This record gives sequence, C-alpha cells and structure tokens, in this order.
Amino acid sequence: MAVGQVRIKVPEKAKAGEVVIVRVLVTHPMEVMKFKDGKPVAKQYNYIHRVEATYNGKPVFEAETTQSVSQNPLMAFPVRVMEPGTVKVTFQDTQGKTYTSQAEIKF
Amino acid sequence: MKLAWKTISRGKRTALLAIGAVLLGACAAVGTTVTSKEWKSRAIPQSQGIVKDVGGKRIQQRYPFGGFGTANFEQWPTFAAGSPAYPPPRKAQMPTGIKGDPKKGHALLKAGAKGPCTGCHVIPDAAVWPAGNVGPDLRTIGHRGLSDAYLYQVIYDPRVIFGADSPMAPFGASGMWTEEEIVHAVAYLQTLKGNPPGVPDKVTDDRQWDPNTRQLVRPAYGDPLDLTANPGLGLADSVAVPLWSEAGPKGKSCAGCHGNIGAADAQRPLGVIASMVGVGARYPKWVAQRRRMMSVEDFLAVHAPETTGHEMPSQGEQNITMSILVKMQSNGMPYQLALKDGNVQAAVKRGEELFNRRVGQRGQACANCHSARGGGNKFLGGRFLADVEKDAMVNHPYWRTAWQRVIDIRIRMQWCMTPLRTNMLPGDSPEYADLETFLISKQTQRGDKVLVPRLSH
Repeated sequence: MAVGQVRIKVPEKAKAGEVVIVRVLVTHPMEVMKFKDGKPVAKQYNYIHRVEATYNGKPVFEAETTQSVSQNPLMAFPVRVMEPGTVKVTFQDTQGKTYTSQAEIKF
Repeated sequence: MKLAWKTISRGKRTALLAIGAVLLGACAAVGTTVTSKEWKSRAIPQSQGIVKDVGGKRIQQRYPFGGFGTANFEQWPTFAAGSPAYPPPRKAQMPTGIKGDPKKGHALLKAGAKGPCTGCHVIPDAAVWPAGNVGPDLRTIGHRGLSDAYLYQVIYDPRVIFGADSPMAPFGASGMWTEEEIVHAVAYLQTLKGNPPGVPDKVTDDRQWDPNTRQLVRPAYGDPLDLTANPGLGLADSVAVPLWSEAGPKGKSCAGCHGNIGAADAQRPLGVIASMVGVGARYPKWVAQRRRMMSVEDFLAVHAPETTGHEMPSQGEQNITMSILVKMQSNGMPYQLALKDGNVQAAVKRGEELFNRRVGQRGQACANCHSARGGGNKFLGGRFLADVEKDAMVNHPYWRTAWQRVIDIRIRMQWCMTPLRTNMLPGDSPEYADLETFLISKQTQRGDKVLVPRLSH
C-alpha cells in the first residue's frame, strides 16, 4: 500500500470571510506495540502523532494525535479564509517521517 | 476464379447451405468449461489454496489478514468441479445411559467452535450479544412438548426432519458435535419453557439485543467516489493510474492500445478511459479461447502479461486496483451480462448449482444463508445477511474498512469458506467465475447499477 499519500479536498471557490471545511486523508498503517500477558511481543510502532495545517504560511490547525488514531486517518477542520491562497497539511509519524500535500482555494 | 451463386446447380446449393448450417451450429454450440484442476492458477500464492505439510500437520495456506486461519478440510466437499457430494441425511438413535446436563448444554450452545447456535437462535441469556434470528427463537422450545429423540435428531442431522434444503448444519453427522454433547444440549433445550410458560422470556430492555425488534441501521461511510473518504480509490489512483501508461517488459502499455486516461467526471474521479466505458458492466464474459467465464480480474491476470509483460496476478494489489480503474468506467450503468449467450446461460446454471451445493464440514450451501428459505434478510448474530434475489451484490472490488484494504469478490468468496469449514479454491478458479456469473445474472435482471469501488465494512 502506498504509505503517505495525502489527499486534500477543499471547495473550488470561496468568498472572503467564508468558513470552508478542509478534508484531508493520509494513507498510513496504524502500528502499535502488541502485548500478550502484559509483555510486549512486537515492539515496533508507527502511527501519526502530529498534524499541522497552514494557510498562506499562517498556522490554522494543529493536533496531537495519540496511539488511538486510526489506520488511514481522515481529518476535517474549518478555516475562515480572507484571501485566496494555499492550504498545506503536514502529517508527522512516530518514525519521524513527514507527509505533506497542499490545495488551492480560489476566490 | 469467380464463382457466381447462380452458376451452382440447385443440388450443390442445398449441400453448401447444409454445410453452412453445420458450421453455424458448431459456433453456437455451448462449450465445455475448464475446471480448477485443469486451470493453471495465476493468483498470488496466498490465494491459491495450497495444501501442504508443516511440522507434520496438514494446513491450507491462506491470507495473512482477516482471520482466515490455516485449518485444513480437504476430506470434505468443496466448490471444485468433480468434488464428491456431501453425505446424505443420516437418522440417529439417541444414546441411552448418558444423563444430560443442562448447564453443560447451555455453555455448548454459546461455544464458537460448536456453531455457535446463538448466531442463528435466540436463547434467554443476556450475555449473548447480538443474537441472530435465522432459525426459530428457542426461548419456549421446552414448552412445545417435543420429544428428546426429536430434538436429538434435529441437532444430529436436521435434513431428516426439515428436508434436504434445511438451512441448519448437520452438527452430529458432520462430527462437529459428539453424541454426549448433543444429549447435554437437548437437556438444556427442554428447560426453556418461557416466562410465563409459552411466552418468550424478556431478557433485556435493549431492543437491539432481540433480533425480532432490532432496528436495522445501514451505516454510512461517506461518498465512495471521494478521494478523502475512500482510501481504496486513493490506492487505485497511486497504483493503477501510473501502471496504465507504463510500458511493460514487452515495450507496450495499456494506454498504447486502449487510449490514455482523460479528464475526470463525477462518476469517474480518476479520469475517463473512453474505450473502457461500459466494458466492466458486460463481464464476466465467456472467453472461448480459454474455455471459461472470466471476470475483469481473471482476464487482466492473463491479458496483461501476454500483451505488456506486466505480471498482474489475481488478488494482487495491481490486479485489484487495475480492475477498479477498468470497472469504474462503467459506473452508473446497469449490469449487462450477455444472458442470451448459450455459454453464459450454461455458466449461470452451473453457478446456481454451486450456490445450492453443500460444502465443507458444516455441509452448508450459499443458499442456506443468502436465500429467503435460509437466512436472507435475517440476522446472523449482528450481521444482516443479503438475499440473492433482493440485494446480494457484486459491486466489487471495494474498500473493506474492517480489513483496511481493497478486496475483490473472489477474496470475499474465499472468506466465506472459513466459517463453512471448507478448503478454498484458487481465487481465479473457473468455479468461482461461474458463481460470480450467477450473482451478476440476478443483478442484470434487477437492473442494478455498477458502483466501483464501494466503501463498506
């Protein structure tokens, strides 16, 4: 499976001052440490633990996800847009890899 | 040499027409299909159903996800052509000298390895959740004055009492239950009188617990054709779309013959391939050269290596995602199986026989769960079973949220083999293609529309 594909959906057009919903999905495995009888049997773990979004460079959304985040997580957040620009979303996983994608909002 | 029709004598004309008729007849004749024994499987290794010895134990190799397991049931009938029929109904004598223990019987009715009975029947036990209603409610079975010998026979082999199409498995005749265990179960069933007698016990206040009052909630997962909702669509976008125009070892690409991927539209968010519009709706197709029915998936596994050199083994990620890309070109169009073709008609008939064939240790058929006579439109535990005549659908491949992967109809069929305690056939076997043809014939008759990839649990 292609890990780290980030897909963003924003409205094609918006008006000044409008609140738009940004939907973003990242393909990522949800690996957590596995325990049996209180002892770890598989120690490697790899999950998304931080999400950041900027609009024209200004931070608009950030989240600390924990090991409870699902496989292939989907996030949606509102942004009030005052001017046309680019929304950029970055996911960071526990192995230090980052996955980024961006989408344009036109007026 | 020019030979005008008029210059041939009348006698010779009749002879020529006769030869022509014979030739036409030969073309229209229904071909015999290959079987899974003759068909060289092009499936990935986990899909081939290989039975082998590992550490002195015979196992069947299956998929490493979803709980397929490796148990081997090679002594029981499968869907393979030529597989022996399931043993006929067997009358049983209730053993004397064993005293039934209702407590043990209660535990056995709930045991997963023994059925479980509670998947299909309601018993007065709130710990069973959720209960199913494929079979009758057992909360008042002890009030009906049925003899022990009758109940023993029902569990041992219900076909003796309810007929050959009984949806219940012959638990005693199959060896899944010992004689002693059945005696315990009978003892427990005779204690179920109801409260007051004859009226089913009220077990919980939760109306969702009782399958007779349960409300069916059809879950919504979002728009399957939205890239941010359906990871399966995203997978096809990152695997199949580049593969379409990538030249294989033989120097050709899919796009070289079938045209490039054009601009997207609402039904085809990955782009329109003009030559492929409507193709997916006509499959499975009789391929005379291969002497079998082939779905899009089966055909790609053979066609891609022959033309481009790309290996595209059945049930592999490349095969499934490419099938999505091809089939979704027909999104919104009704299924159009060639029902007038004699070969397709023969396949539908074979598929219907398979649908009703009892297989595996449990000795159950597809029809036992997916027809109105059996569990169709009823609850098996918490699962709502589809009815082949009403809503069973083959909008595959789809994104299965429970497994977080794309699966095609063949993995779905192979997955059904696990609870049936049956060895699975290779995913690209001709028998499964016949079964798929039968299902799609129902969809064609209903006018169902193609929607690939779906998003479901």
